[in-house]
Amino acid sequence: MDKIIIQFLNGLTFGGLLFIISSGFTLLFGVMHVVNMAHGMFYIVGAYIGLTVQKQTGNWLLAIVVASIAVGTVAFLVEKLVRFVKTDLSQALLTLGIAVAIRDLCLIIWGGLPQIMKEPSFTQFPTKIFGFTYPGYRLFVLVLSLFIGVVMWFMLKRTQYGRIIRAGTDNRKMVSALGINIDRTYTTVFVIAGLLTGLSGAVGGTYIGFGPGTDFTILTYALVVVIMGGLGSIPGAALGAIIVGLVDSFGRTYVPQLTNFLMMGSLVIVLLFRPTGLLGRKE
Amino acid sequence: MTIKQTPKILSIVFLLIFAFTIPFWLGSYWTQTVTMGMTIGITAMSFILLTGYCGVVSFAQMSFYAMAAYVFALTTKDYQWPTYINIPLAILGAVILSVIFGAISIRSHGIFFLMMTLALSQLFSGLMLDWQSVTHGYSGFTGVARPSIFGFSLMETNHRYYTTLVVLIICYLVLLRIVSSPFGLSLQGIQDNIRRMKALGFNTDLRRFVAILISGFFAGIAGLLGIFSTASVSPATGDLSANVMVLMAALIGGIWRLEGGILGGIIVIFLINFTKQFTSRYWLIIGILFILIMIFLPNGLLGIDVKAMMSKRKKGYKKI
Repeated sequence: MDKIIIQFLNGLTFGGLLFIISSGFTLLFGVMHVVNMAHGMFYIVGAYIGLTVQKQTGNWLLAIVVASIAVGTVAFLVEKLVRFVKTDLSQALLTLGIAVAIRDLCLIIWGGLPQIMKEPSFTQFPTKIFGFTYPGYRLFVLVLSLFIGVVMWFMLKRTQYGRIIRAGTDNRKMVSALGINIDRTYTTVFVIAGLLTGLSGAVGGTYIGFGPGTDFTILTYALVVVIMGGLGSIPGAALGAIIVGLVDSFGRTYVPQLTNFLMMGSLVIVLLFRPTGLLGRKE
Repeated sequence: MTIKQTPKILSIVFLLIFAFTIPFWLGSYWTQTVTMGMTIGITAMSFILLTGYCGVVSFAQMSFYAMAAYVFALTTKDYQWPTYINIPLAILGAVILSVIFGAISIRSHGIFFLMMTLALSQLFSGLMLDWQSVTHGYSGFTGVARPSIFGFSLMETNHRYYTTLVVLIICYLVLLRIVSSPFGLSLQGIQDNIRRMKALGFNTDLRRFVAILISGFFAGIAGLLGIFSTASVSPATGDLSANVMVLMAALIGGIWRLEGGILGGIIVIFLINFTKQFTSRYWLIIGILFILIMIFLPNGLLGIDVKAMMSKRKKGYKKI
């Protein structure tokens, strides 16, 4: 019984991390219809930069901030490149090309060994839950994911800027005819997605180890979460993240060889009943 | 034979002579490279059947390829079954996987199909990595014995080259027949206007499903040739980088014609093996090239319209 509770908590906190990871992805897709294949690359660049800053200064918070800003800058540049092609399919393929090039660059700069960032001191408190101790950092990640989710939801649904972004999703020409610089709005959204993913890279790099190949794993997680929850929906991403987190956590404990098979199976079951994902709009 | 057709036939004859004499004047390393290029070319053709004719970008082709290779490796090395059973089983494995992937992703279109197949192929590659009792995990199968078919041993580079060449030509002709058949034309109709095709009474989902199945079959053949060629298979055979290779092959050659796949496959493998001699960071170069092609040459080499360029007139190629 204790084991099940532990696994449940692990799944929940991993789900929280997955939500932070996939929030940038689902934001970009929901708002701009760009499938950012470079998402995993953003993550791993954030993790590597966070690691480097932490090694130099020893400050975890500074590492998070620098990683976030650095990836935001990368996202800004990627957006400028993506402008060159028009349709959503070629945009996706272009970001894939960027991802393939930069992941190799990362291998040159940071080498091929798996790495992990040190936990910050303020989360190193053993927390007692149901009579056993649980690592504080994981609970911190869960709280952080809740915070990010609420802030994103509030930004999109309750502020003027969020309204502009959502209007641009439905009718880009009309919004720009109303005198709003929609291009600049889109650049901003891309940068925000980059900031979020950079942050998730540094936070996730402290949670699980990373190395060459992690970027494609992360991209897969983000894809599965977002497809399961419904493309472009932030509550959907949260729901998908929790399901994937739980499936991953229990799968790795009880059927370690077939975790990916379980994941595929749960994806199939969800899509069988809800073809557009749990909370997705119709295509 | 009319006079107009003569240059075309002559060029085909020259191309065939060129292709069949390659092992005589190219060293064994480069013959092996061309063999691998042709294998990727078949996969790229199966990709083009879906992308150029059916209008969906599939990231699952290398999964079908890897599936066939895995089934062949498992039955040959671990179970020691005879070759004449293993070869059909391997292709059957690829087709079954394409049925599964097709059934899951058939309801999605456009960019959604891309994401779905990408997620599935990554999960498949992860399954191959984790399921160690069957797939041997990270290292996969190495040193899988190459069979000899009717006394024609595939141990020799040249024999493998000719087998691949002949299979490539057959695959090309069959695929050409498929895309110019009423079925193939209906696929193009689905790509151009799916609503109108539905209104005309076509079962569009079934037709797309059959197209995925056919592409799985040809990717399986390629996978079989691939394991003859490299004698090894691992999770990396079917991962995203491998799919990028196929995608790049199709894009370089030109996505609107089957020949583009063959041309692109050979060019990409040549490029990789060439840059490998100088640096192990060849993905950086390939990635940059990929970006440049996406921006400046979206229709590929075969999509360059020479006549239109001469007369400065834009011809109406679609953009993906």
